[in-house]
Amino acid sequence: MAFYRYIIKRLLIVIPTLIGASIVVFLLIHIIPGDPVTVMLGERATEAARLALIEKMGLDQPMHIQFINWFTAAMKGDFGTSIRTNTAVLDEILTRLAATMELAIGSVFIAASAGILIGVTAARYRNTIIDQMAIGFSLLGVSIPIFWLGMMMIFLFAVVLGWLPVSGRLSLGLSVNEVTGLYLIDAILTRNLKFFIDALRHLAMPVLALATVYLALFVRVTRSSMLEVLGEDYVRTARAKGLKMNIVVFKHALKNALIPVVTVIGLSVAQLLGGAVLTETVFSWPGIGRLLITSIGFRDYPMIQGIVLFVVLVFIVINLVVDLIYAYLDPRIRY
Amino acid sequence: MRGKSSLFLMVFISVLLAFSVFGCAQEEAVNGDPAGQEDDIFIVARGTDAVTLDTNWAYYEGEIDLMYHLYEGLVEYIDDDLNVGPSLATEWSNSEDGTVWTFKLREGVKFHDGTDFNADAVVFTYERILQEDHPYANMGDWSYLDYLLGDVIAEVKAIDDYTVEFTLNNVFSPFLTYMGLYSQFIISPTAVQEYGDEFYKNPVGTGPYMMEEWKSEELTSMVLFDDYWDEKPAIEKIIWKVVPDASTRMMELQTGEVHAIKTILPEQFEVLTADPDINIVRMAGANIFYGSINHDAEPLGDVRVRQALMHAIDFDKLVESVYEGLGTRAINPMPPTVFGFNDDIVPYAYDPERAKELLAEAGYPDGFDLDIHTLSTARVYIGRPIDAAEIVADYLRAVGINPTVVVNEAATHFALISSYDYQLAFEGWYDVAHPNNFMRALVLEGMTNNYKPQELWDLSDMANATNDMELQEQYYREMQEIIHNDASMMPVAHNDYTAAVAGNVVDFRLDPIGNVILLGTYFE
Repeated sequence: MAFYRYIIKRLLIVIPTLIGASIVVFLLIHIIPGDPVTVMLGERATEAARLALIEKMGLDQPMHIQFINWFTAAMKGDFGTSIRTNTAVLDEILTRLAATMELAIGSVFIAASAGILIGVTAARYRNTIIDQMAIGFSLLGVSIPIFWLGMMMIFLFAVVLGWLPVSGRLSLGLSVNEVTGLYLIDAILTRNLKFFIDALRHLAMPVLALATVYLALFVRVTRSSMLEVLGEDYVRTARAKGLKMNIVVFKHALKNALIPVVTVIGLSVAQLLGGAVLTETVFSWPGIGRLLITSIGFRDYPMIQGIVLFVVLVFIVINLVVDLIYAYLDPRIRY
Repeated sequence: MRGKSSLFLMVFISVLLAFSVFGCAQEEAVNGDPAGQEDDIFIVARGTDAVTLDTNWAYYEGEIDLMYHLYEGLVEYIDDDLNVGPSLATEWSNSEDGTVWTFKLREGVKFHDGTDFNADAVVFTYERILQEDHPYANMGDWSYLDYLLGDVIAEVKAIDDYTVEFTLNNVFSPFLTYMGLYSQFIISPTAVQEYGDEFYKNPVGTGPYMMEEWKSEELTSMVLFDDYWDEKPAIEKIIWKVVPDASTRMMELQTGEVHAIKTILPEQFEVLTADPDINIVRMAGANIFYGSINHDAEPLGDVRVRQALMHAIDFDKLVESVYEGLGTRAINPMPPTVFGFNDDIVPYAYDPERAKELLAEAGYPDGFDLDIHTLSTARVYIGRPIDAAEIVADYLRAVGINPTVVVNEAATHFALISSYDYQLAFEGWYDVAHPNNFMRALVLEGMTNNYKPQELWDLSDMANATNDMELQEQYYREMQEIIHNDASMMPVAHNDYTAAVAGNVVDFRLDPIGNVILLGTYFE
């Protein structure tokens, strides 16, 4: 019972958090100089033209009125219309979400499975050449600028070797039956092998580029957490009982060592669902990150507010999920 | 120890396996891939997407290319000097007093939705934009049609099914040139009635191509229109792919995944030129990159100070290093490719000593503090705005001025300029290659620099009010002379519009406004 009350309490916190976040975002984007009208008119932004368009777009109302109007509509599920594209903010976010989710899920999946494996192995063989290689590799991974890595991957795999397509989500001219918007899943649902392979080939490079960065992070966290656990008394007891090291590591220690790793993985998923701007730009991936950056450049207020609220919501939900996984990993944790 | 090495081996093998699968699959997929294989699909990669496909409300760089393929105007440009020939109108005439234009329309033309093209469609198109109480008014934010002709056109009237009469408030010399521009193209009234506010996603014109699919920020595709009235272009289907990163765009072309890329960077020029399988297309652009001088900001109100700035800078060197051969030095507010350009103007010579003398004469022997504002990112008229401002600052420092370069993101920059909150700011202009669009739209209306002498207004009015080309040229040349003598602005360069195409592409065209035109393009 207490468990459900905890979940409900956590979900209720969402409301003040969203209100707070929307006020902060609203203020911030209105404080920075420039407005959508100036961007729209660009070189033609004479004072008269600007004022006329500002009035036409309702941007001449006092700020608090604009906020209240937007907020009351948002409460009813209407996040407004994009100033730039004239489409409903929510529709636009949902369209981009599928593309972003593909990248986020794919890269975190690869990075987490490989990262935990490498991290555990590095800790298990601490101070050996394997450990040092793992550390060196993860240092490299976090230090490489991702746009450069992406560029080099394109150059190698697309231009030189010709194995993979340069950019985009799908070969042009390939028609698709969209069901979920996640192309790999759609391909399975529609049993279309050609579509599946094509989507996978387009996904490969951006996912690997992102995975490299997160892999490095996961390796480091897993390794240090594992080292800590391996120093615990119960590990020594298990070893003293005569259990094999591998059994101790994977059966006794791993679950406990994973708690900080799960936190980091959760935050990474949340971060990636907010969009990976550089990766999306290099690989022409139509995700949320690019939408946010374009919208900020354009001062597309409703769109920026919509995306930020969405990201805040993702963080809250994922934090909750992470907390629930804690309880599974460590039975002592109870809510 | 063995357990772990086999683990690594497994990971290694699976990665290898994955790549060999990709490798094999790729052979198969490329054969089924349209790019580079089938002759009837043409793929162009561009950095930006369209925001609206409604031609009368379009004005972004990313949308204008598309308009020339989906829609048509009453007249069309037949050369790069923007001379016009028949399109949806077969002939036209101008009344004695010059204020009434009568167009005979082409019969038997259909819109993509099957609607007949006739005088009603023309009237509907113009009234939708120009009449505020029109049932389909205000379907966009800012209309170039309204901007160019809103105050010019008094009435558009259907005389019969295939005759339309435009009555102007006054004689307006750029009228016919403007009629060939995308914002004046004709839309299907039934489609506007059917789609309403969604028309911008469902464009219906009479052009040789009709809309197929628009995936925002990904691609726009269009296919040949079966009932097109004129000879059909060779290409069956055009895909406009959005590739925001310039380096990725180049690699898309190098791998043959696209047939053309729009806009190449100066640093890519050499690589692409060296590639035997790629051709570069260039067009002198109807644009200008200039320094806007605020005449109300001390001490720039003094003509001697402004002339000193001009003498202090070696513009040839500046343009050479920033544009790397893909631009020409500007000496007037309009490009030399535009009718009425004054080629008698001798630009201020690079002469730092003369600059120092002028500064001393003006009472600033020790120079003064000067903020130089510039853009943080490329625009169509400048690839590297920060470099340009830094070089200018170096030259000015050499004559004793104390400059500070301030780099602004676009929204901030234009807000600052339009509120006159600057001394010297670099910006630019790109427009139709008509003198009115530079000498009036830019110099007198667009530029916020507190320099608007009455004699320039008068000359501009006189040029617009006569259809006599010689007189127009004389007025425009005079305007340029006044601006030059006053050193009222700092013209820097005209940027070339560029594209790169695969070696087997023939007759890929860029127009002086920078649009990709594929109407005559085919594969060898």
